[in-house]
Amino acid sequence: MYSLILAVAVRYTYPLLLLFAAFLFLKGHNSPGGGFIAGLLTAAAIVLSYIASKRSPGDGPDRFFVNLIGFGLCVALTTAAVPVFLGYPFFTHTFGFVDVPLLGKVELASASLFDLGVYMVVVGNVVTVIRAMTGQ
Amino acid sequence: MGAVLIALLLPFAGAILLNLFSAPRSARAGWVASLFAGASFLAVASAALGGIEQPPTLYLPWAPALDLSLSLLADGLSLLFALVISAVGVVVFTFAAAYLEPHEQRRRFFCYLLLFMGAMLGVVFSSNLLALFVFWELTSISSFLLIGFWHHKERSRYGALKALVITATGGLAMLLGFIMIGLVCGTFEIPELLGRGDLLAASPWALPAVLLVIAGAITKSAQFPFHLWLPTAMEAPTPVSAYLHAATMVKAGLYLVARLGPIMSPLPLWTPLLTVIGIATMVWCSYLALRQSDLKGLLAFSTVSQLGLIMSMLAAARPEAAAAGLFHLLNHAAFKGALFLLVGVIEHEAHTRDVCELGPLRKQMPKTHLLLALGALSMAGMPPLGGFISKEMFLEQALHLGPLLAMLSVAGAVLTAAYCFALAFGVGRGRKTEGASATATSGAEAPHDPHFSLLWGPGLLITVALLFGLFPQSLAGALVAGAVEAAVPGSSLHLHLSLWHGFSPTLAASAVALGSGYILYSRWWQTRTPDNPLLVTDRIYDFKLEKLESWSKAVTVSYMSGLVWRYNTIILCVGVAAISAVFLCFPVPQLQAWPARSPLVFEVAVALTAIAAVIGTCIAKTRLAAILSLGASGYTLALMFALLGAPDLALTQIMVETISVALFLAVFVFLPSWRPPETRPLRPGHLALSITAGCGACYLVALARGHRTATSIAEFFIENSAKLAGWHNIVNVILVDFRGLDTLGEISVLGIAALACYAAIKMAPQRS
Repeated sequence: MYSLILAVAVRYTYPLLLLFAAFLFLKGHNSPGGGFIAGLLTAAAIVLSYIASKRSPGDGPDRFFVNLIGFGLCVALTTAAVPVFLGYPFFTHTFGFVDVPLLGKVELASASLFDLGVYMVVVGNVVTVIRAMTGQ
Repeated sequence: MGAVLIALLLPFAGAILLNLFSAPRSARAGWVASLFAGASFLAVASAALGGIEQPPTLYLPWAPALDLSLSLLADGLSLLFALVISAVGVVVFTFAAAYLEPHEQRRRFFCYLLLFMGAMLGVVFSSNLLALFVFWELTSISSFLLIGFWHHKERSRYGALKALVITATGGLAMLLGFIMIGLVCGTFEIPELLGRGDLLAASPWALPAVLLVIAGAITKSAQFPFHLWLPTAMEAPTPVSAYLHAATMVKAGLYLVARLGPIMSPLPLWTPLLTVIGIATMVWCSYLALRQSDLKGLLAFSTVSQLGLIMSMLAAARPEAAAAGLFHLLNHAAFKGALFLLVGVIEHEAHTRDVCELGPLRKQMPKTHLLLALGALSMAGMPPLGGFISKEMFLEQALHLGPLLAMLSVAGAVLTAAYCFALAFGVGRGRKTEGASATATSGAEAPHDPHFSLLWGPGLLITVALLFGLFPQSLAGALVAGAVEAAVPGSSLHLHLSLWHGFSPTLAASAVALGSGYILYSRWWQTRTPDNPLLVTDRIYDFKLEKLESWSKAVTVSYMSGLVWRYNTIILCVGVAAISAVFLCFPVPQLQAWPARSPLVFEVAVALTAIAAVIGTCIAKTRLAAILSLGASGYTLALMFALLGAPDLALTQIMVETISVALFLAVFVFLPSWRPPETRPLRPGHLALSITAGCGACYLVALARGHRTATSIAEFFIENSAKLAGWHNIVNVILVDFRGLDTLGEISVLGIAALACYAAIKMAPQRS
């Protein structure tokens, strides 16, 4: 069910959607958003690109999204585990502010890394399941 | 203590780096892994040479609320085990690097092996019972992965599963025991527990704790009646057998007995039960070893039997006995590790490890055979090898155990000597099998000594076994004495290890054991037919496993019918029944009104739209309409969230709805044919159930809303999210910080679910 209009539309909206996902991810610290929502949006964008394109989602780099799940779990777990070796309890998060030219005061939080792990797991999960169900 | 932490972390770091940066079949993987193992060994050695620091612990909080810490303990006992683990580790890693064929998945193999090494070091360095358990189970899991490394072989999978089932079950029993000990004594830290043994002794939980901890120890160390998993675990690649199933993992049970001895040995049953199990295992399994035709099977049973010997010594918690056990443990790691590696070499060259099919090894592989014979003689207790001294010490201690156990010990030593002679002389003879070996090797090249890269490892271990015999005091004296001090605190033992003890009853017993062993070997073993008896326990295990599988299949089939309406019926029925039961058993509070504003017009409109969409789903004429209608109900729900001031929920709901609709459309083609609503009979039962469940849910929500007894936790989050976490979005702070552990659990479940889905669809047999 290939539609030229959809394909062309997706060509331009796809990067925008990913950009919006990145925006939601970074925005999540202080207003609605965060890794989970950004992950779902990214996954939806990828699914949309599958729907729009001619090829079946089953094609393409096979293990990438499966690996993404494991990688995301590792990132999340590492973020949680590192404090133990610094003498703090498991899952102790920290944050601080740095001055970046042009941007001004930017907040850096270790929780963002954990959020990144959540993001990767969510993207990997949704895309893996959809690909598995559709790629026969 | 820094060195100990480094030694513990290096293998894990190696496993991760190898996984990230190596090709699956990389030839270098083995050498890189060996480097990490070697560095870990150096760290342990430097910790050991630096002497025991005071206090010998390092405390890292892990989850203080659960009394769980990653605290490390490096006393004599830990260091002795850690030295064995890392030293044998280095030999095995380098051996395996040369041993594995180029087409094997080396990255995976060395990853697991490093993981195992780290876990094992964790077991011996943990000073917290709960952390010890975590590492303990990690060794079980890495052992499972390594036994099943050649997973295309059915026997490998069987052996791996069996080892996991038995050791993990034992591990869980042990955890229960640990929890009892920890709750009674008020701490999970081993050094603190040592002073609180009397608390445990006075508690009614003492006996169950003893039994449960023993269950953990004897399943891990494959003691009778759980000796069944070790022989089938021999399907693992030989370096794995040498490392896990001879030198290290199976000794974790011994470590546990030695480590907890000071707390547990004053309790009833601990010493007698473990002593009897140890001696019984030693005798029975050395007899079984004699009946094997497979070299690895023989070595497996001999390992179990030797572990029984050490177990009986460590259980006594007397300094002399502990010294005998620990020195034998050192010897055993050296000679048994070497023997396994040598059997690996033989299999590599001769393509068989059946005693009856092997040709005249002494002529074909003289160096290998010489090492094999030396190792076996050390195990038999032949002077001047290290095994002689520890066997002497064992017999001396066994004479204190009472006439029956002493006689059994000597009988065990006789049988041990017999199978060792069989290993040393019987295998090399190529006796009565010239015909068989001729057919086995015809056409192929005759087996010959392998390249140096495969021989130096076992050679080194045998040299160590020899040196343990010649210079026991200078090589192992301090190590064993330090370990005894930790295993039996407050003991004043002047340990002097030496080859010659003078004429004593022990020497006579040793001579009798060796002599009778040789007679047994020459008169019986040489003429017997090996029959590889099937163990009774094996049959019980198989029977239980089969029953378990058929029962769980029957149960699963009874409700997994593949009909969604049936699943929903079961879920709703159980939910309604459970909640009704609660209402019947406990007083039901009155439904109370709560302060509420009157709903706004557009809120009512959105709610009505949602209801209309749901009804539309039920009466849709086509499936596409039903899917879209369902999606519409979801989107209106999102709108409702947005209106009620939950933008995060609204965003999530929109995303989830979008993806579910896409998913529905994607699997559209594979769904069964659609039946229009008018052809579907309305089932009154289903209707009643739906209404009950729906109204019940509404009632519950209303009831709960009017009965808030505790103050809302939301206030805490609102106040502290920016202060403690630095972010203002409370929802996200809860997700990734305040309740991050929950999220970690959730994303793990997400990951597993996706993998299961992937595996179920991709790897299912293709339906035509």
